[in-house]
Amino acid sequence: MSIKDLNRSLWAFHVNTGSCNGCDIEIVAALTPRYDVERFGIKLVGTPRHADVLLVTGPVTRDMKDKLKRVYDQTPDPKVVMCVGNCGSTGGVFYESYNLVGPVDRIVPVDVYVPGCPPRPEAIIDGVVKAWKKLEDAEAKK
Amino acid sequence: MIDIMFRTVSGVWSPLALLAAAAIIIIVVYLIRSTGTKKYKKGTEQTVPFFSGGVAPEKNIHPGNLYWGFFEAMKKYYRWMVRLHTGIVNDYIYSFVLLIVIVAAVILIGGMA
Repeated sequence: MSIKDLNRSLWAFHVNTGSCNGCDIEIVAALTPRYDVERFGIKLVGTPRHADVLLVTGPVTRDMKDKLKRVYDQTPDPKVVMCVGNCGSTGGVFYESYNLVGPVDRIVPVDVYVPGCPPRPEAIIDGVVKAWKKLEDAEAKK
Repeated sequence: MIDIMFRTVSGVWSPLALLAAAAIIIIVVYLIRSTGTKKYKKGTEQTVPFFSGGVAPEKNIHPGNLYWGFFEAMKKYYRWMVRLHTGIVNDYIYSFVLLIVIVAAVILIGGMA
């Protein structure tokens, strides 16, 4: 797998749909000087309107369902959704909880899953690279 | 060629030069704008303001709301001022006459002193 044609930075918007903050902290860890993904142009943005990738954490609580859907709709195309953590992928330890409507792929289509509780920053970075490749393929098809 | 040159105390300028500068600026702006992407789909959520995932309220916060503290502090004064502005011409004439009387009194008293 190689990234060739996407000649611009990859911007990500982070959505917490009810996470315990473990995955969120690992996402932030990927931005710290130890991993420093910003040197590759990967950075978190404050609005989905500027994002190429949605980083979704958490098992999607009832209150967050509409918000997640709306944030997904507000992200310009082509976009890639990355589900970070076990909770978003399967429900994790909150599986079949009365207050959940997730996992994430029940609400929005997910392109890349990054399992782990929480996943290490290396795994998140690997997921972002896979997302980047998917985005590149999507842009090439246009 | 039409020679439109205006000489002023500080030099010479030509309206044609201004028009040429405006044309260059418009071309540069157009070129920068054309490098952008048309990724947003009109009429969808993509063109609706982002409100942290919630529904954007119809009544938004306006720049004028920044003056809230100012208006709050001056509330009494504004209430008094608004009450004076009745929209009736007679009231404005009365206040005008009253102002003239006060000014005249000040001048007269000041002149006598």
